[in-house]
Amino acid sequence: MSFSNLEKAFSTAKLASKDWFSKVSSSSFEGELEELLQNFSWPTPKKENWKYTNISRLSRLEFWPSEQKAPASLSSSWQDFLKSGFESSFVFWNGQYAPSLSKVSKSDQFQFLQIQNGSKFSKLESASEFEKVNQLLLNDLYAFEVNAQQKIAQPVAFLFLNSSDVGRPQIHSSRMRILLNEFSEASILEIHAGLTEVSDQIENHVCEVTLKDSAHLEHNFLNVTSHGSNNFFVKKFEQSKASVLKTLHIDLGGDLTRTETNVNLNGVASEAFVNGIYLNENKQHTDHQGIIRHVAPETLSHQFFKGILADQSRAVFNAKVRIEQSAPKSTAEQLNKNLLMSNRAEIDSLPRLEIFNDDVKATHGSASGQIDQNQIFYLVSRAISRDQAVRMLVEGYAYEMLDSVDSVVVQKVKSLLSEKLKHFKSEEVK
Amino acid sequence: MLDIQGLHVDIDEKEVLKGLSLKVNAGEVHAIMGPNGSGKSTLSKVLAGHPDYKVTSGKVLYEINFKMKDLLEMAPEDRAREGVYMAFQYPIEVPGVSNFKFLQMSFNSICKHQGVPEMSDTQFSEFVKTKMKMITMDEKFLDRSVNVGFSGGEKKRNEILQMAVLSPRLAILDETDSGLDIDALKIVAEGVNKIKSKSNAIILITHYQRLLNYIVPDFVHVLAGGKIIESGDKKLAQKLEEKGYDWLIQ
Repeated sequence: MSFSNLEKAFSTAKLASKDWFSKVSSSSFEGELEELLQNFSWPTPKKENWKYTNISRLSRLEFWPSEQKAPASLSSSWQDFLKSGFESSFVFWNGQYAPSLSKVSKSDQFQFLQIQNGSKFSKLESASEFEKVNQLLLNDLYAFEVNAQQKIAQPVAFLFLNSSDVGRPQIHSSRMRILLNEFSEASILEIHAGLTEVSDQIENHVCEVTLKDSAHLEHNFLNVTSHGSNNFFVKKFEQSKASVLKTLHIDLGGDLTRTETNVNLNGVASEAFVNGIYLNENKQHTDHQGIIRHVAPETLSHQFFKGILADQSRAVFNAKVRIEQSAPKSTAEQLNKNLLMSNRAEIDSLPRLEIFNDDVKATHGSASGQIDQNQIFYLVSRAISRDQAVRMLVEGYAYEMLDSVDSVVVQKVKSLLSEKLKHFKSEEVK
Repeated sequence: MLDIQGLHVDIDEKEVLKGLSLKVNAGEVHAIMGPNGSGKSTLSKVLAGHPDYKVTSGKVLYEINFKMKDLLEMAPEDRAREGVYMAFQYPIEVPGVSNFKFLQMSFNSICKHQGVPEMSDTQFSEFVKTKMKMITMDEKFLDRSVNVGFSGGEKKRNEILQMAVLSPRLAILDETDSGLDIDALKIVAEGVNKIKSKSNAIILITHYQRLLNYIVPDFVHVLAGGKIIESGDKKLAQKLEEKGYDWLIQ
């Protein structure tokens, strides 16, 4: 791995909020990177938050940074997907921005920047394992900023496409930074997708989001990576006063996906709705980690993750809500529900609450079970076949999560969801 | 059309029906009355094919294309496709599935089975709205999830809507009148009367005589202890209303 481009110039002239980007002092930084590179070890199940996700197989492989050049055009299915409904679409190829594939309308509402030597603009301390790896291998950092008072009418798409060389395992690193200034509003759909089946690949992506006072962000995240892809996603949200965040994470693709979602409710009356859905089949494995921290008073968080597990798939939900002493009159709700379609599927669900203030309202729970046989009987007694009844019920279970999502996004993802659910068979679960 | 012969049924290894026999012809309305725990609901569930109920002996023959077929051999969806319909005593909530989609899927499954063209969204929408008007049900119920958040009366009305849409040959109404106020009862009864014809049969399972003021039965049966112990015409229902069941059971 080389860091030869480290000193390339970067100018923040185009950004409205300059304090948002600060360069880490370079003297200590390079030393730290060097040390990290030498001492890096893959996390093992001995670590508490890696207990249910074993990546020892990956640690034995050698991964190469991605090299391939972007193609001249997008596949027709992605062209169709992005054709209508989006304000702009930014396409990335193996972690690098591909302007020729993107469709960006000229706007005075937002700016998008490509920043070389992106690793120099993030602190290393407190970063998790794969965040550090991301920093080590990162080329460019991307920044998307919405100007104060601006409301972007249609969703903005960020499509991260991957394609790996045959022959050797590759690692794709990408990092986004998103800033919504005061009273701005935007809906973002981030998509991670693979073009072809890969033998072994790591997709390592970090997204850092800042919401200033009274900003509203809908951030939907769709994972449709290929079979053979191992995904490590980190999402971090910093929220100021009265800002509102709505996120939906959708896991459909990849062999192994680990997502860490961290939210800091730093401003009074800020609100976060952190939802997710995962549909796992065969031996797919998803792992949701993270912490929602209530730092300021009167903050609200609502976390609801739903899973559907078929075959021998596995899922982990290990998320924490922490209400600090500084956050009286806060409300937190946390729920994880799973539908098990097979005897061999496994869920490890650990919703956790930590409360340091008495004057708060907090609930959490977890419920896992099979499809209700009475519901199946009701549908089959109305001439609907058993397979179709199961599909309708499972779809209904999944679609419930789309209720409060941007209608353009719903329209785009619904067919992907139902396409995947077509494979799901209900085994007799006893 | 329907011939039940000496039916014995267990649930959770407890015998609930103990040799029930009943014949129903096309064009007839049969009321089955009886005290709590007599096996009324078990009968309706067995006819619809609920998997929890085990038939230990006896036969249920059902006429399909002028031939008597063994109904118990058929999967519940196949029974429905051949015109058997049970209105649930406690309709099931199905979150995330719209009432419209549910009705259309159900209707088209039957069309497909019978070899008639299925209906498109627009065709079906028009069709179902005429049925809703008939039973005075608001169109907004089409977009809602099946029975989710419906009141007791709305759920029962939704059962009648399904019946109107599917126009079954054999309709079994399992205590459709229970929990309804008098206005809702009238509407439900009116719906049933409109659907009633010479070519279909209706079995009304009920606890009270009052439904029979609005839907006049050709036969009334008393089910007690897992068997039919008395049959008669509508006067029998009136007698039961006055005297209760005790005089029959003793």
